[in-house]
Formats: sequence, C-alpha cells, structure tokens
Amino acid sequence: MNRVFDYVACRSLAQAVDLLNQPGAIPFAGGTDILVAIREGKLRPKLLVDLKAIPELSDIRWADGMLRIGACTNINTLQTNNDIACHFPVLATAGLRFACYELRNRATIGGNIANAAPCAQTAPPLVVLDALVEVLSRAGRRLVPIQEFITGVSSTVLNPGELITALLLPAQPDDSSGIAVRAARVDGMDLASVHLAVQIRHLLDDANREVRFCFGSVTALPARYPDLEEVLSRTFLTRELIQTVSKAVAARIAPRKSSLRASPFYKKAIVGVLLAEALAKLLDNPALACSEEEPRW
Amino acid sequence: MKALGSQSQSNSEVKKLRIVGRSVRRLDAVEKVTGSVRYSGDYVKPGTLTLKVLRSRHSSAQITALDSTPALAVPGVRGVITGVDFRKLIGDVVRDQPILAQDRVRYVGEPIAGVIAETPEAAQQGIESVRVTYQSLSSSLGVEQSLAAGGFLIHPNLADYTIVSCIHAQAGTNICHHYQLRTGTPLEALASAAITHEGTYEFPHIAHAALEPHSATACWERDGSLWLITSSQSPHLVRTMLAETFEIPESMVTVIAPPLGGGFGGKSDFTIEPLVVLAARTVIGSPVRLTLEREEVFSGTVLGRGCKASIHSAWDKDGKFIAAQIRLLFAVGAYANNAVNIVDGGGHNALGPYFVPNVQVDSLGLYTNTPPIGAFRGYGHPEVHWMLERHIDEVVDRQGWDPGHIRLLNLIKPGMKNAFGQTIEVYHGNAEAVVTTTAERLATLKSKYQVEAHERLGAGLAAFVKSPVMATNAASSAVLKVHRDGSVDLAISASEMGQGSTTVLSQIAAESLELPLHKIRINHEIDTRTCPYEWQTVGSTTTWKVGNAILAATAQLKNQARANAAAYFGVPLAEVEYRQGEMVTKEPGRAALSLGKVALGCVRADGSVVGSPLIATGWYLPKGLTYADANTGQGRLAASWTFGCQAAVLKVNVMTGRVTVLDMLTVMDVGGVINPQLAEQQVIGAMVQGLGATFLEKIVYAADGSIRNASFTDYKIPGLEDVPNNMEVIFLTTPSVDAPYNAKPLAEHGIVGVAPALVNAIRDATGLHFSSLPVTSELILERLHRGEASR
Repeated sequence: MNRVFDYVACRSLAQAVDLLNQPGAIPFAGGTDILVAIREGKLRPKLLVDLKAIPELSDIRWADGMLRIGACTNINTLQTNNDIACHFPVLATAGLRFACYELRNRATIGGNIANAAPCAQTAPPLVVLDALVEVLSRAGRRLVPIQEFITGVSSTVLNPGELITALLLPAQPDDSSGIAVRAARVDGMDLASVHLAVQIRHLLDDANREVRFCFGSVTALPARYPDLEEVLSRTFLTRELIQTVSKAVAARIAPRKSSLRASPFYKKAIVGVLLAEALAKLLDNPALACSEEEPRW
Repeated sequence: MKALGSQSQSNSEVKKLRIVGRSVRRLDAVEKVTGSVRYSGDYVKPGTLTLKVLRSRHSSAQITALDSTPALAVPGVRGVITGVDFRKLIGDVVRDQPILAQDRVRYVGEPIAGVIAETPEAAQQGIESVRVTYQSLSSSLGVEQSLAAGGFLIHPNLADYTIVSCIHAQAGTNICHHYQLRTGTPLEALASAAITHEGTYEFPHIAHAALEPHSATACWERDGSLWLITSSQSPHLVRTMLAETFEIPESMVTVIAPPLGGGFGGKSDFTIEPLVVLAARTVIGSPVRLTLEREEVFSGTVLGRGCKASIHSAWDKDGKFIAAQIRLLFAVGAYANNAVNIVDGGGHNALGPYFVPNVQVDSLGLYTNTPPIGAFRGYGHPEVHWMLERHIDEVVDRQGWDPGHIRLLNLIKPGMKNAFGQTIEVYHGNAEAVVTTTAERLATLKSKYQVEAHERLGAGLAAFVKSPVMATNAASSAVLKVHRDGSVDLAISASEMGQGSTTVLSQIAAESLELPLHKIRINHEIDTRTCPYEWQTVGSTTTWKVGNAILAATAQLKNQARANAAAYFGVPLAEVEYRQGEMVTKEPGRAALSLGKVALGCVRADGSVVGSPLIATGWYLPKGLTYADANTGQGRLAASWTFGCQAAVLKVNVMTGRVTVLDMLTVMDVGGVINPQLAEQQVIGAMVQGLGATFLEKIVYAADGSIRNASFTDYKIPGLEDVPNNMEVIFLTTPSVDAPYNAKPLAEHGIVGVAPALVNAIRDATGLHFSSLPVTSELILERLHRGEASR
C-alpha cells in the first residue's frame, strides 16, 4: 500500500482514452484486483483512470444481433439483467459463486477479462459464447475474439492506451441453454479449483445438438477443445461418451503443480465430474451424471 | 440448546435465580452490530506517528551488514530502530527473544528494523531504503530436522538464557522444554498386553485468523511514564513485562486494552507490544502506532498448534486401556516463550478423559525456523485429543469394538487418580452421562439420513477433558462502587473479545446483588491504572475466575451496606438483612434503606455521618496449584476439569472426495450456565473453528521458510455457507464447587474434539483412516482412487 498515484474519475470515453495515453496510466474499474496488486507492490501505476462513471460502459443492449455488455457491468448485474439471464444463462450462472456479494458489486466483467487470470470466472462462458471483446483507443475501435484476446497468464492483446469498452455476445438459437459449474475448497468465498462453462445449442434435438464447453483454472488459457465438443455434438448423449471426453480432457490439461488450491491429480479427477454434472443438469437427465460404478482414470 | 439435567437440580438456591440462567441480550450487541465499538486501531491521537517493520526474508541467517541510515534521509521519517538499539532478550518463561533481530534471524517475518514516520508512506519508503545483507545458515522447518543429532542449533546460547524453573530446556540441542509424565509400568504392560497398537499423527501449524489485526499505539511521556493502547488479552501481563524490560516502575506503565475483534489466544501473552514501545522511545512525547497488515499477522505474531505424535497403546481383550507410551513433538517456532506451556498442556492431557494405569508421556518443545507458536484456543488439548481419539478409533475399527462403549469403559471416574496424580471428584462432572448422551443422540441423528449411490454416510465421536493451563498464581479481581442512585460500577480486567464476558459477568453481579441488570455498569475497556489485576484472559477462565472474584466483592459490598444501615438504625449488624438492594431490619417497623441511600455512608437527622462509602473488592486464586515434578510430571497441575464429547454425521461424495457435514454435536458437563445463548454460541463458534482445522487450515511453508498462504485467498477458513445446518449443544449441569452459580469453563472446549469426531466419521463412512490434518477433499479422493476404501 502507500503508493502515491493520481486518480481521475472520467466522465466520458474521450477523456478516458486521452488520459490512458499518459505514461503509467492504467484503466481502473472495480479495483478488486488492481488495489490488491498496488498494495502488494506488484503494480505501481502513476495514474488510475477510473471508468465506472462513464455511462456507455455500464450499458447493456442489443445491437446487430448481439448483446453488448458494457465493460463496467458488475458481476451481480450478470445475474439480475434479464437479457443476460434469459439468453446467456451460462454467463449469469458463472457469476453466482464469484467471490462474495460485496465483491460482485465491485468487480466488473471487463476487469475480469483484462486481468486474464487462469481462474477468471467469466472467461469460460465468454469463450463458449464466442464473445467478441470491443477495444477502444485513440486509433479507434477494434473487435477481438475472446480466445485471441487472452494470450497467457495475466496477459492479453491490449496495448498501452487501449481499454475494453464492451463484450459482444452473439445471439444464440432459441433452443439453447448453458450453465457454469465449479469445484472449490469451500462453499463460501473461494477462487475455483476448476470451473467449467457448457453451452448447448439445439438442446433437445439429438441430430442437431451442438455442445460447447470450456474449462478454467486447468491451463494458462481457457481450455476449449473443439474436436472433443464434436464427440458430444449431434448424437445421443451417453455416460460413456461423456466419460471418453472427460478422459481426453484430463489427458490434455496441464495444471500448475504449485497450486495451493488443487493438485493436478485433483483437477484431472474432477473435470469429468463437472462435465457430467453440467450436462446432466442442462439436459435434465440425472443418469448422465457421474456414477461411482465407472472405472476411474 | 437443551439443558439436560437441569431438572435434577432441586436446590432451591438455583430455582430462585432471576438473571443467571437467562439469555439476556449481550450488553455490547448494538455497538458491535452498528460498528461503533472502538477497537485499538480506532484510537488515533493527534500527532500519532506510524511504525512500519522491516522483516526477515530468511528463515535462518546471519545479518552481516545492516545500514538503516538511508531511512533517516527519507522526508517525514522521525526515527529508525534496529537490534543494536536494544540488546536485552525478552520472555516470560524462556527469555530467548530479541525485540529486533540481534545479528541473526531465525524465521521469515522476524523484525529487523522499525521506521517511525509522520505518514505511512514515508515509513514504508524508509523501510524499503534499509539495506540488509544476509549470510544464510542451515535451517530447520520441522521437528525431525530440529531433533536430528548433529543438527545445527537454532539457539546456540540456550544454556545462558533465563528460564523459569519448571521448564526443562536441554542446552546443546534444539529442545526448549521436555515434560515427562510417568506412572505405573508402561513398558512392561506394553510388552505383555493382549492387544497393542501404534500410530503417528500430525496437527500442522494453523493461524488464529481473528478479524481484527494486531494494533498498538505507545507513547513515552516526558515525565518518564509510558502508555500503551493495544489489542491484547493480557494487559496486566504486558504492563509487567514492559516495566521489567524497560526498567521502569510498573506504576509508570499504563496499558489500555479496548474490546478485541477476536483473540483466540493470538493476542495473549505479548506480541507486538515491546516493539511498538521500543520504537516510541525514539520520539519521546509522540504516540507511535503499529497496525499489522494481514500478512504480518500470519508471519509476524504467533501461530498455533504444530505437533507430531506417536502413540503406542496396550489393551486387554475386553477393551480396557492398560498402557500408553506417547511422544509429542511440538514445533514451537523460533522462540519458546509463548509455547513451552503448551508443551506442558499437551503433556498433562495426553490421556484425555481416560484412566490409564501405566503411562509414559514425553512432550518435547523443539525450536524450528518458523514463526513462534503461541496460545491457540484449547492450548495443547486439541492437539493431543486429535491424536488420542484417532488412535482409539483405529483400535476400535481393528478390533471391531463399539466406539461409544470403549470410551465409556475407559473413562476416568470419580475417586480415580488421573495420570498426574490428582483425584477426580463427583463435582468435576459426569463424564459417563456426557458420553452416553452423545452416543444416543448420534445414533438418532445418523438414522435420519438416506444417501445417494455416490455418497457414503458416516458418524463419529470423540470424548475429551479440558482443564485450564495457567500460572499457579493466576489471580482475578473485581472492584465494586455504588452511586447514590443505587447503580453499581463493576471494574474488572477480563478482555471482551467477542465471547460476551461483560454480559455474563454483569449477570453474576446483578444476580448476587439482587439488582436489575441495568443497575450494573461494567467496563468494556481495560485500563491497568484503574482496573484491578487480572493475570490474562485465557484458558476459558473468565466466567469461573472473575465470576468468583465478583461474588467475593458482592459479599463484601452487601456486608458494608448492611453495616451502614445497622449504624444508622443503631442496631446490631445481624439485625439488618440485604434484600433486593434494600437494607431491612428483621424487626418490622423501620423503613427499608435502599443501596443508594447507604452508598456514601448515612447522614442522620442531626447531620452526623455513620458508616462509610461503599467500595468493595474481591479476588480469586485457583486453589493449590503446583509445578510438575521434574521426573514424574506429577503435581497439582489443574484446578478444574470439564468433560465433554463431540460427534458428527457427515457424507462423503466418493466422486469428488467432498465431505458434507450434516450434524455436529457437543455435549459437555459445564456445572451451570450463566447465559445459555452466549454459552451455546461460544461452543458453536469453537466447533466451526474446529471444522476449519479439520478440512481446510494449514500454514504452508515454502522451502525457504516463507508462508505460501499468508492471506485469506489461500488460507481458507469456513464461511457461513460452510457451517452445517444442524449444530447442537447439550449442557449437562452436575453441581460444581468453587464455581460461580456452578459455572465451569466451557469456551475453548467446543474445539477440542471436533477434528477427531469428524475424521472418525469419515472412517465410519469410507473405512479410510487419516492421521494428519487437514483432511482435504483431495486427500480423500486420492485414497479412494487408490482403492483403499472398505465401504
């Protein structure tokens, strides 16, 4: 703590973009990561450019077949906003067990993505929704697919002077649904040991069903495997299929050995349980959930 | 809560109680809920300077160079302190700790220098400018390493230290204390027994995690006096140690201790106080404040527990516990002072609530290059009960015995002598009823549940005994004054740290004085200059010891009031009775005199005065305690015992290893209950803290001795969401002696048997035995995957 820096509460995007060009300026929203990093001496900004009071950044509206979620939308709003809750339940449920209620009032979706932690809870849902990240700078606007946006642990394609203005979610077919589930050490506030987002299009139509899933906290980047999604798509879903896919996921992921939250063993053991749990819930078919008779891998 | 057994008290005294035995609302409820309580860190006097501390990054190193002069050049910095400013070692029991490292550091987090500045920023900048050069030394993070022959010495000068005579340090080793308990012929019994069993167990270092971080403000006035405001459970002990350390009269030291935002033992004895006082000496006349960051609370105060044990037990074929050979190795950290008594506490109570005729206990305190260990709720009892109750469960499982029956069979009973030679009496509590009640209730609770195919249901229990571990002269005292309106000031020095002691003590005073509760005004803040002596607020002794002191004071006060009235009426003292705050004569015809009317003596019609102002004092000393015999460990080591039994019903998800605790139960014979709701909440709080230690909590050291999880991000404690829906507390009330309204200690007790009860339930559910804490989902799942489960 005790670092000296300037702070400006911006009233407009133009002002923010302008200020972000100053040396040592960083965008600032909920502050739930930045204040901690400053306190620990890991981040020493000269200027915090506070974006929360810029109206466009908290706006949520449909445009061009996509739901545009302002970057400063807080995590509690992901659950309370009707458009998100009805059309993108995978994102709404990801917010359910994000930190605690008070922090969810502060933390923003833009900040969660910009921070690019492997345990970022909104990343997997955004990935399965093929979200686009809207980035603004003096040079103008650009749209970056979420999977290209995050490039590593705490690393994104954002250049100095750029800020995230919105997340754009393409509309899903009517018969779609999604859910986010997780494993953590406690039922109270905790970072997830493993978290998972599953989005299914054409939910009840075996021949056309498309399953998408993405794990968090198991690799540096959100872990989505299109070839394994294919195995689960356009077919009659069975326990055996889910087990095959889970096994393949466990073989591919490379969790950090030094994690205090869960060992690679535990993460590999739990991915299948989470995947089965999510699919069983979405398809309202308890038989798809893991059963103890299965051989373990 | 159910108070079974209270019906059995036909005593008319008990029936008449008006305030004791009632769940009156706690006196500080509104202040606590609205946030208006002023804690230590909330006292900011004008001109207060900030202290920041430079801490060691090495677990064991020689300081080869230390240059603090750059800090003095930082604008706003007013002073810098390092080890050369104060060479004397401190410590109440083992004088082995420097206030600031003396050429050598012994743990990551040890204070090396302090910077006093006008702003926190300047102090921080000052700290960052201090240059330290280290030369690494060997180090030991665990007891095995510290014990290894030929290992290096963490305290090469151990022989030169001043040590209290009941502590047995071994110079030339890392052993700072060795308590030995011997009775009967354990080795012979083990050699010839029908059934023997061996096991090893571990309780790691854990953190107290009090919500309020340690904070203290100190100031040396120009007249040479010193005042200190601190978040402490031990203001009088702190005063004495500061006076001795800085060589000034105790009367020149004032310690003020506001209510605490949690203590759990982590603010007992002393922690940051000497450092803040030393820093304040550089700026005479200016207050200096140190409020720890959360990370510093983990690494820069004291931790708790840290014990490895081996038990070798012998049993006859009917399940009688015949002999035990027990070795306890406590990793006390870099300094022994606050920890050696825990080595004793564990050693004394290693046999739990059982009668075992042949015993050999060796309890060793070993220096390690980790933060010092201090008191932690239970003080040695949770450590040894974890080991013993797990051990018994292993035996029970192996032999196919009934867990409840085996415990009942072996409980110590009235008339028997415990391992250190004290005789248990009927008034110490009904251990058999405690275990029977628990076992019966547990069976009912378990029968409620059906579980899914991927779940396993289990129930477990663990019995315990808890006695306060304390100094032989651990006195309590109380002062009462009466105002002219009949209201009463009660001054005590027991810390209010969330347990509700001010409410309970006021209830005791109001009951005894037969006054409404609102007539009693107790102090919530302790000022050693005006409040009477109290050893420390530790060991669950406040209701019992301070309550006794209050009863002594109220008895004196009632006599004084009667004497005033007798003088006024001109009748013998025996003619005046104290009734509900009024003095009445036995012979009718005289108007009663209220307590207020006699408060300052009585003025008669002619203006003459009889009697005297009412001011009464009371004290209590636990009776007849002695040190333990150096060779056999025998002695009058405990002044009170509370028997209890804890149990849990849980389910284990075999797909995830996740445990869902369904019910937790504590049954205790507490003698009497002053405030049922507060007593129950106290026990439930302890159960929740025990739940954390069972499943989540452990200080994780990196290879370099630093703590990897020194924050709540990765040091997880249970939240409300993690608390089982059904938390039951049942108090039995066998009439006690030497306890106010029969109320014996009960507060820490709720944590003592939690871990073994829960882990015994996991064994019941899965067949898996765990011997180290915490038992995480991951560890359970690993063993399930290895196919070790038998159910």
